[in-house]
Amino acid sequence: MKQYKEQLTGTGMVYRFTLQQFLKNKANMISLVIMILFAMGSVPVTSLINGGSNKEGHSEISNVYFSDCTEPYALTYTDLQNAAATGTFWTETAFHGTDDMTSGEGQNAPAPRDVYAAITFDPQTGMYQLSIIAAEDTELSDEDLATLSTFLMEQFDQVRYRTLNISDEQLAFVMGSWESDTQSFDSYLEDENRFDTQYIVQLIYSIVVMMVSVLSVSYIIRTVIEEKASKLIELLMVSVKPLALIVGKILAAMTYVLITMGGMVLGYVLSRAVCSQFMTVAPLTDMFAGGFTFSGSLTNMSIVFVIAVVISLLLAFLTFAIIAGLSATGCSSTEDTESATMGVTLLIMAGYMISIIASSSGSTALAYATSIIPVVSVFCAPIHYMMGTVGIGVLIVSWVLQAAVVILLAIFCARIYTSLLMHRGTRVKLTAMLSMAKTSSAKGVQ
Amino acid sequence: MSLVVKNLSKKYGDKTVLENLNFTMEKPGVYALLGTNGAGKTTSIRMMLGMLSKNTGEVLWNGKPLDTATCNVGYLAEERGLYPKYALMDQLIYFAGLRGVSKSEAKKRIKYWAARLEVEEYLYPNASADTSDAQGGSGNARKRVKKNKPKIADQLSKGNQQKIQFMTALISNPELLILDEPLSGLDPVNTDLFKNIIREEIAAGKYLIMSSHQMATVEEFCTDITILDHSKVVLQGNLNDIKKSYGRVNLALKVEQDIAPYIKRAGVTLLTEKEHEYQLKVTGEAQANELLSMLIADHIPVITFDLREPSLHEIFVEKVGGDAHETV
Repeated sequence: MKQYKEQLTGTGMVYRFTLQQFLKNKANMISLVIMILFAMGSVPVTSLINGGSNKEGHSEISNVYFSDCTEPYALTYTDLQNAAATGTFWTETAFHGTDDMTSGEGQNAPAPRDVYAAITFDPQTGMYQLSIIAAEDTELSDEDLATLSTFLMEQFDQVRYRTLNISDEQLAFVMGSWESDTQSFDSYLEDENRFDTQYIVQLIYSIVVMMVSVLSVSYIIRTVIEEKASKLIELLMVSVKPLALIVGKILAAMTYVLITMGGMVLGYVLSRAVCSQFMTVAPLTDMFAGGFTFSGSLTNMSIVFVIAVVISLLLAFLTFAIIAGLSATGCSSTEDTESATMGVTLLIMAGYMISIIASSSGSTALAYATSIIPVVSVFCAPIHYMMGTVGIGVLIVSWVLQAAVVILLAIFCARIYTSLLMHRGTRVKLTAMLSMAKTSSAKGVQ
Repeated sequence: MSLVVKNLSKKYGDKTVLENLNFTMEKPGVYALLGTNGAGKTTSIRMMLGMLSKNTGEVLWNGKPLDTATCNVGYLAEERGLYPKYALMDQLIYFAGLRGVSKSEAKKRIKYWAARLEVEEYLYPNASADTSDAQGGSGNARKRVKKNKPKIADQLSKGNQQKIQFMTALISNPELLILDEPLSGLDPVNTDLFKNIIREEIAAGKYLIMSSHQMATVEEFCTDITILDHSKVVLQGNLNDIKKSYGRVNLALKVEQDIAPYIKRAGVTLLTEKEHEYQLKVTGEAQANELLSMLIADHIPVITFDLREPSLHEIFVEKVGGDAHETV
């Protein structure tokens, strides 16, 4: 323990300096601002794509002039006013009787935000008819008019049923709404809805892991190569142990990526707060749960999911960060940055692609395999656990295996890191690193 | 305090890059590691500092393995380096912090060394403007102050970068200072600046290890030397003792006429001759005196007769032979 403490002396100083320089770097700052703007812009863009209306939770209709010509049921505009008052959607809409119309108004087109509505009965067909008349130059959308139509029909039905003197429970029973779903027999057997949910959650989570890993890896590789190319290693090694040097950099990259992600989340939340003043923005819970059929409640799922995600993300970060550190340390000049980044990025992309393919296949065996195999497991295990495909035991086994990989990588790194730091010349390949570790192990030299 | 280097050896595969280096520094002073390029000087230093693994041997400081924890080391590496895009002040505070110097103390020391090494304008670009502003500078002067950003390493000349690097070596007030080619690439003015600081460090009782190709500089500062050739120690010891062991064999003679026949008759080796100024190699004082006696006997006026020990340069060339062509 004392030996490790000595090896890590100065880590805090390296961490602070590296983070400080990350934050002072103009290119990093521009990237951060672009990412935050991207997160902020995603709210209005997605809302508009999803057909968001101008104002959340309110009808755009200003006045409804209503008449019911179906005696004896007689739904009145006061019934509509009372029903509208129970919610918030119609708070900016006034319901009037046709008596409120000024002389000759009914003969003229309504105002751009007003409508005339009338319910009639056709004795020949035995059908009720709802007519909604809007202005030629109406500012109302089809969605606004459809919502009004539904509201009026519901209220009319309620009046009809109430004339039969039925209780509220009975009314709720007969007024229960419908939701229909049409699917093929094969889809029915495969539980397609659940499958779609897993695919979407897996996709989102894999993208997050990939983003965190790729960002971290690029920062670590850049800072390590910059130091080596600047011929600073000898100067630094007089003052700090190689292990402290790499650990400080990894922690600084992790913090910087967290700051970036935090900035994006903050930008998103702020953008939502601002956009919700002007347009319909789906609640966050709807965003995550919309269309998904989680077995548990969202709150319970979130706690377990957050813990699983944090542990898996941490393991993913450590794995890729150590590999990135080794890859970068084997380089001597900034020209090698691309090739050093390429290898680690390909590994991350492979993990990402396998996780997506495994999720889209729907195979339980593949789900188990991808939850356990290191590197891929950091992408798959928490999602498979959350969806109930694998149990907590498999999740823990995947963490243990991944942690073992991290420890082995750290030991490997500790054995060869000093030699790699002092290396000059062409980029050190994996086989040469293994050879270095073997030599180091044989000599017992670190 | 003492520094002991014992049986230090290093091999890369079958190739030996350093073989059995041994030396001791019992008291403060300057120890020189000399050798041709690739002789093993920098490798020795890197091994001493623990940057390279040793095949055999140990390096002890006060009886304990030399380590950053056991010894406050200042190091000016042969490969000079600074972060090219970071502010110089940030870098210096960082390097000082790594050596355990607090930020406030580091700032004091940076100020001191910046003044000594004449790099204040790069570290405190607003200092002169601040002074003029305090003395009633105009609005334009204040605007100029805002524009003066601290310099980054990329904006400095090689010599000024070397000064900043020297500051990083000195900033922790080290007990052991290792300087690998400290004066290479410096102009004569800055060479003197560095030499003065090195003298002060010696006077302050520091232990210095210096690697250099500039024999005159080594001769000026060093008390003990090791000459390496092809990874092996070819000469080692106190510089004065080494010189004495060679005897006084260099004779500088200035006369007013050609004395070539006398030189030939005395069996003395002629090295150079320019306008009756002769550089001669004698076997010892007896041969030199014999030549002088012949000249006096024939009434040849002798203006200069200087019999002295060989220079370090000559010793070095003799020891490493043809490999010494790169020395200065």
